[in-house]
Amino acid sequence: MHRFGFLARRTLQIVPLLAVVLFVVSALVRLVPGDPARALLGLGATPARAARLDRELGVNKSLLSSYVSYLDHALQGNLGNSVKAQQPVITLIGERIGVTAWLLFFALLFALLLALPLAVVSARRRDRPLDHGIRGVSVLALSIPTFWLGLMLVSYVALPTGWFPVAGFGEGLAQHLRSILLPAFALAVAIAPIQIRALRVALIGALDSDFIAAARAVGLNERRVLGRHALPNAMVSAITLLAAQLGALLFGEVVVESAFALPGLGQAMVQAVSERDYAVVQGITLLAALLVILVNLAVDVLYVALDPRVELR
Amino acid sequence: MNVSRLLPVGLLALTALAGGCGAAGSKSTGSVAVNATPPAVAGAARTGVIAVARSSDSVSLDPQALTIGEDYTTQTALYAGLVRIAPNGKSIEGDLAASFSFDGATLTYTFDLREGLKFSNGTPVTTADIVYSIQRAAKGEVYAPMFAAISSVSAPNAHQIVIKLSRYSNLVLPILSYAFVVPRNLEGHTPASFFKHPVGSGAFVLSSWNPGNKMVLKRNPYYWDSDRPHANEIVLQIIPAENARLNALQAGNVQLDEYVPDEELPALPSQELVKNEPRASLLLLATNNAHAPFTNPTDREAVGFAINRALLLKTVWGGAGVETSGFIPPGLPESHGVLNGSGSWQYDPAKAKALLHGTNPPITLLTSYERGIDSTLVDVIQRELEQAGFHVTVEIRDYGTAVTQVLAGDFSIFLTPQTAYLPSAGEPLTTYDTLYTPAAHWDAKAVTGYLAEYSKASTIQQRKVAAIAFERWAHANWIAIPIGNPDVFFGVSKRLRGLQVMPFGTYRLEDLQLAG
Repeated sequence: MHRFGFLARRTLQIVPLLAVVLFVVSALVRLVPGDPARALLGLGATPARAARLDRELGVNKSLLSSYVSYLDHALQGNLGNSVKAQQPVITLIGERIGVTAWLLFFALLFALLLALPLAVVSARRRDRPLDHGIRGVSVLALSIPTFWLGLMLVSYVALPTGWFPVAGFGEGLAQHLRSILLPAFALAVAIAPIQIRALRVALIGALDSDFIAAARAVGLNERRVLGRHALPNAMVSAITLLAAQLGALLFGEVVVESAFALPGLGQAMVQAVSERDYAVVQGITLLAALLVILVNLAVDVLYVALDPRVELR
Repeated sequence: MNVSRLLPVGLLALTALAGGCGAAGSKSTGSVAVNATPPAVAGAARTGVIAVARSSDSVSLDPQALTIGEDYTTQTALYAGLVRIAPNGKSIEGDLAASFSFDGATLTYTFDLREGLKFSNGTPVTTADIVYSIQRAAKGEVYAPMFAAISSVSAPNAHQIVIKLSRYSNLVLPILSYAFVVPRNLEGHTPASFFKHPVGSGAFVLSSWNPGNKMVLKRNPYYWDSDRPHANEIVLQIIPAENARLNALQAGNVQLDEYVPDEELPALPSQELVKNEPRASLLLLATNNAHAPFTNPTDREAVGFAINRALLLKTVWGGAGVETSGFIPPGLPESHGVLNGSGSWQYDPAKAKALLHGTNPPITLLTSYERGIDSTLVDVIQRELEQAGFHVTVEIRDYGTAVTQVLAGDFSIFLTPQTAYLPSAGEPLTTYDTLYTPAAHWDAKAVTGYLAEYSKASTIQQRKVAAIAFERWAHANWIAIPIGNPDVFFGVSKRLRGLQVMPFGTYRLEDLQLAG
């Protein structure tokens, strides 16, 4: 009952939270100077045509009026129309979300595949040269800008080998996989170092705790001690961190999609901002905010699964 | 071999060609050699898919809404008109019309249609469709003024179209090349719905369009020219990031990059670059003539003398381009010899300084980074204006914002490209009349008068005379300051054949072919 109440309460909190996020985004978009119709149509368009498009975009409406109208439509599942793409924003998101989902999934997978073994090795070889080496490389990887790593991967891996496409998402499963590997790796390198460090610290804490000493005392082998007892405890903090990193991951995804010309939501966002396609900017932001909120909610629930001592309130 | 070392050699060769050609008009011979890939092989087997990387997507597939270069290349692939621009970009040739003729007064045009014309859905193209399409195009907002001389469009029989003019206008034939033929009444659809899945009679048909991502064109089996298109499919892939487009070309993911910026040129060997020259485009410093200090023609003149055009060409554009020939770009037929020998647009910093009398007027240089305009160019112009005595503040804006400011009169000097899409000086003159005159406060009566004079000139010589008269007036009054005509480059795969870039930066997709 407690859990149901918690979920219901948190779910209800999503609506006002999204409304606030949307208001802030709407206000920020309005602060960008320039005429969206002119940005789309260029200098050659007649004033009448530009004025007509401005009316369609609701540029002349007040911020509050257009915000209320947008909110009303959004609650009915209508996120408006993209003036550039001449299609509903929902359709545009639907066409592009697949690419972004692939990218995020593989980035998380790669980050986990990098972080987990390195953190375990680092924790078990604490303060030895291997531990220092892993931590040093982590700091180095953390300081590499994602776009730069993307460019390096293109220049020194994709172009010389010809194994990986450097633009587009391709057709079919095999091409999708080939298209996504390098950008996902670039993104994974951006988040893995923090995961490694957090997981290492949590593992060290767990390995030093009394319950691990007790487990060892009853004769459990080290692999079982680590896998069944230390890691699940350490994962709580790693998962918390992952949820906190989601915002950074979404930002990195925008950069990586541009570097690899992946037609996902990140690239659509960049284009929409430069073209003043308000509805697209609002729609994608709304989706990103919803994702962050839902992931945080899921993490809260996951705490309970991983650590029965945690209570949901 | 070191790839980057090849480029200076290539640029040197290109520069030598451009320099050796002298005046703009005599460049046509040289341009064919440098702005085209090897020609397509006639009658060769059709190649499969050609992928093209472009920086931005089409705005619309509605011919009434033609605005940007991407639209022109795409729409000329999907649709056909009675006539079209010849591949060299200098004349008009038949398209759906096999031939055309005029009466003695050039007030009646008669177009003889080809046999068996069909739309991409297999239905016949009728004279009613053509009459409807021309009438529809004439109502379009962008080019409507250029259709104004047409008094009637009719079909005396099933094989001919007759267009009558109320007065002679040399703008009519060029503008008809953008009067694309679509089914009458758009087959009962609204324009928004029809142009999402348009039916035309061009070399290609729209297969799919994922806006902002990819457009796929497939061969139109009913196209009137059985030798075209060479490719079965064209994929127009939208890749906004410049380095990503270049990477895609180098990786073989695309066969053509529609725009390689100057800083990326060293990454490609010269044989994989195609130069768009002479261009029907120029860079202009448009002064706000209703705003101090430029209400005073002397201050505008000072700007004119402050700019070292030879230095810009040599250092900023690496020799790829033309210094300036005035307000009519060198890629247009009437540009030839416009200011030849007049001594105009000189660089004389001492004179510029003297004209300002040490007043150091504050000005704001407004611009956006477009093709041909980058931070290096802006820095050089700022420095030159400051050396002359102006106190310059630079405002870099995105294009939409800059244009909004200009239209609102909120600028003192605007650095902007000005591009034409028709082989006629009438197009830039129309733009100057409708856009720059109100925005930058040029003398409306004078500009409209020069446009009228040009429109009624019936021979190329008379048109040149009219264009020169405008140029001389513009220079005498320093209405704005042209600063140069930088070339732009296309990146091409070694296998690509048949690309011939017109002065407008557009090209025919139907001519593209892959070797091997």
